[in-house]
Amino acid sequence: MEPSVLVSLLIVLGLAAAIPVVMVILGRAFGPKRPTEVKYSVYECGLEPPVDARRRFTVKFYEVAVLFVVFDVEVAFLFPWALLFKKSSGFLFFGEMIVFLGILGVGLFYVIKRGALEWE
Amino acid sequence: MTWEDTKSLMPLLGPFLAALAILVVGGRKERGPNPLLPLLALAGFGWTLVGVGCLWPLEGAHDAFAGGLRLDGLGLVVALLVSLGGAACTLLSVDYLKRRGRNLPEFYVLVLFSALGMMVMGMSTNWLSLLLGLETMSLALYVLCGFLRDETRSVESSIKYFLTGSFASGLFLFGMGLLYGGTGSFEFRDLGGAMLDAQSQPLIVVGVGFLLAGFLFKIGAAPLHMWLPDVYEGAPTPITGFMATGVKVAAFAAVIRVLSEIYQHEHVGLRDVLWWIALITMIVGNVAALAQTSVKRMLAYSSIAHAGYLTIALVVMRGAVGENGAIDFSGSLAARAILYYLLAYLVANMGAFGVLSYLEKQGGKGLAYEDLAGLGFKHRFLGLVLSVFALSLAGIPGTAGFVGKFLVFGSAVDAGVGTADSSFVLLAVLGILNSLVGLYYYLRVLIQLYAKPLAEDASTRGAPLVGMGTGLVIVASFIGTLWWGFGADFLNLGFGVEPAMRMMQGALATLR
Amino acid sequence: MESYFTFVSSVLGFEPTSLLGFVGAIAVWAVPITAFVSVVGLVSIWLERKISAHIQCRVGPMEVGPHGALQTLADGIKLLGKEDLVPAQADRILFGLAPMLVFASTFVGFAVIPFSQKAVIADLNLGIFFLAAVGSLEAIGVVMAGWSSNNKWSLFGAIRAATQVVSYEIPLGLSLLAVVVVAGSMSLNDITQAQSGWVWNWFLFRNPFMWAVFLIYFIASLAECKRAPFDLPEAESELVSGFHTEYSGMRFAIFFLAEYGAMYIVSAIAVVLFFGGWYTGIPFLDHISGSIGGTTGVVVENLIGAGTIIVKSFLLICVQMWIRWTLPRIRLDQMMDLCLKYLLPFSLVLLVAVSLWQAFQGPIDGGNSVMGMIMLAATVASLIWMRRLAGRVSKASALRRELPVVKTGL
Repeated sequence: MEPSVLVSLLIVLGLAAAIPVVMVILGRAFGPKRPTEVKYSVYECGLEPPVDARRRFTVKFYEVAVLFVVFDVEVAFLFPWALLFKKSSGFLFFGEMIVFLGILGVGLFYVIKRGALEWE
Repeated sequence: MTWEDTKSLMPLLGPFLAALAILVVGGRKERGPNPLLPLLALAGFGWTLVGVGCLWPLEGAHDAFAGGLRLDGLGLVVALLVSLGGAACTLLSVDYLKRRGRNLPEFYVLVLFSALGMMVMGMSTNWLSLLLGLETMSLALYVLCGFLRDETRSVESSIKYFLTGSFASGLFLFGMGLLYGGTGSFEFRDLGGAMLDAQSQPLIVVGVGFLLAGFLFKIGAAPLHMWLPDVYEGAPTPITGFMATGVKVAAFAAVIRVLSEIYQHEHVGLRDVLWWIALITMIVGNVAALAQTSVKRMLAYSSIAHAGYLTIALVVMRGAVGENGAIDFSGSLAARAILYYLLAYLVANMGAFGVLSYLEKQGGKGLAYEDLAGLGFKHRFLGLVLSVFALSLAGIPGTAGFVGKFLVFGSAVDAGVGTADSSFVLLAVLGILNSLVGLYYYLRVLIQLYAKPLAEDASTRGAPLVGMGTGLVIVASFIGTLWWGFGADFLNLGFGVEPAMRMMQGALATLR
Repeated sequence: MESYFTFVSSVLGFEPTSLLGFVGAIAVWAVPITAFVSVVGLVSIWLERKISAHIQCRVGPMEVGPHGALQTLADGIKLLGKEDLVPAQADRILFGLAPMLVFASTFVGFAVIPFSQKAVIADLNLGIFFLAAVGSLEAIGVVMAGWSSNNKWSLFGAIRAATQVVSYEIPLGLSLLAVVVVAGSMSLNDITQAQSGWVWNWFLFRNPFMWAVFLIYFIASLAECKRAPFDLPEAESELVSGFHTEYSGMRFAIFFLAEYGAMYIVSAIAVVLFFGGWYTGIPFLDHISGSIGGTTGVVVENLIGAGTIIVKSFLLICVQMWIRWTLPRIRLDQMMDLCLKYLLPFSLVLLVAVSLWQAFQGPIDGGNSVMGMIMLAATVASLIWMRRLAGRVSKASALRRELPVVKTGL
């Protein structure tokens, strides 16, 4: 990979940051600015918001986050394996992945059987 | 990784496969006791015991995972001790959890995984696999401590252990990072050589300091012992026993491996640091244990004191530098003494916690000294075995604890006599004085058992019979405590003091 | 192979290594790509309105431009004239950053999506990994938007979005892995070139499991784009469009543009991974530079390639829209069940199956082509069968309900 690829990626990143900024500035320039108190309050179907929005939510979402960490790291670990699969030979290479997947598969099986994914 | 590597993983496979099997069999929505699960866990530990039996005596050593794990004599001894402790913990838990109404499959899985982590720790030869084992062990133990989640103290224990333990893991990681910076390698074996390099020395000194703090935290040595009493008191009693013994076994094995590299150099400041830590740990543990009213908490503090005695042996360990540059500890009495002491501590401690787990009432009650009053007459056998365990922990001749203490103090005197430096002998003397202090609180147990009248409303009345698992553990520990104390050698039955010592010597022959 | 830079620089007459050549090549790329992103947005929003209208027996926008083709542009100009609102209780910094992050995560994807063999700005050898990585940044932007708005609808929408995106990333990643196993490379260019030749060389027909892998990828990508039936995060009828409830004017336009840009990205990835990328599937057309020759040949070949991949991608976008206006929104628990209980285990099994197939079948010479022909035939046959089945079912259900058979515009 030539260095210019990375440089051009950097330029794309700059472009990606610049375009929305330009769009917002344009919007500010053309849009009106007539603030009223009601306009700047939080949208709540016409009511005054009775409570602050930032409250606790159910623990289920945290479970999902933990599962994501487990399995997404698994996927990230498997990428180098998948990349080398064609070049490798022998069942040991395949077997190692099976062991790795098997462990996580047993974990998934347990989680499902245990009912941790039931969303009451 | 090759097929050859997998052979050296055989002892680890037992707990691992058993844990997976329990997850598959026990994972269901309806929670309830399943008698198959503890049997599976025992089978896992049995696999390891059989594996150790088949592989011993080990010629040379087998490396796995590109040298990250090393199955040698020390690894086998760790696997042996840990799986003995784990099996005892499983047997105790069956009765204990049934009485607490928390007999769930996850418990056994976590015990197996923590044992697996301990074994990996004892077999690791680089920082990464050491950290892997440490975390596997710790994460499982954090959960186990809070397993009685309806009891405040159990939850408190878990939270305290988790918060302080993650801090210790952080220290450990930080030390690892510094050492990697100093040596350019994760291997223990590159540590000794890099210590001579003046440029990387500051990094290594600080790194070893952080690592030492992490280790000391895990074994509960002063001044990093503050978490230990609360955690041990709140945790389920079988888990307390397993934590007190298994973690020590794993951590000391890892320390021995690391020190075999560091002690290549004649004058290491680390010895002086450890000297003071041993002293402070003994004093803190013993003095604080004096003031306790609960036997379980007393045993927690005494576990700190035992960590101090074991650290004495770390201070005085010496050995010839082998041809590969590492220290050969197989000639060192102190190194052998550590392993023997751990064995003696394991049997006496698991037995004592076995009795306690039987005596314990709902909510962790029934473990004060007063609750033992007159028990020696009511439950003759329980009284007898509890006295023997207490005496062994105190180090009274005729018990395994005595042999362990004798070896530790003897090795310290041995290392000090004939040299101009009197500090080793002084440390041994201070250790002996400390065990005299310890005698006081261990004997209080005996006084309660035999010299106090049975309370009228004795809460032990109507207690259920000792369950089969608990009974098995208590009897086995009782026999073990006396067996390795009297030296069953004169019966010529095999595995007495002498053979055990020979095993420990063999264990230290192939550290690198 | 010449890179895009050397090629464009030489066409422009600059020294490829010179700064001027570099800047020129960037300009030649940056202007059209920016335009392209906008055009993708405009066209697909118009397509969506037309398709939804015709599915619902309406005509959709008709006034601005032929068949309302410029309606989206008019809407954009209208948004430009709207007031830029930031609620008083919002976290101003995060509120401002969120649309930018969402837009950037989509826009950067266009840097590695190949339009043809040469028209790709950064032919990363980690292309797929890069796309998966920047794609998941979007979830952060969405959560930032929902959290900073300090509005319950927004927060619920953001949490739902995070849950959904994060969960579906796993089957998505596993189906990408299956393709990497078959291709042996993560570069989108290499993956495409492994599918050159006739249609049956496309990865979709490479082995019996690829269709299933594609379906899992497609379902997961619908969820990643928060498209119906996975539009819980912005459910208009319950959450009042979720995480961007509080956004107005151009900031809202940025979210909208990013959403339709993301649709193009996932479709283009699907085309590259399964449908032969820029190859038409006819070897003569794909290698036309051999018969025309010179720079013209190269340009024509690349133009054909770019046209092919864009058409293929828009076909997939149309399928996404078709699904959106056909299926009802599913519930949160159904969404999680589908992902973790079905897609995840299935994609694990498929990965194992694909790698086993690759281990046995891969080395056989010509085996891939034969397998591809069989799979292509099976695909065509089952599509015909499904069409007939669908016709029978709709006729039967219409008869049962005594309703007239509705002729839709599609």
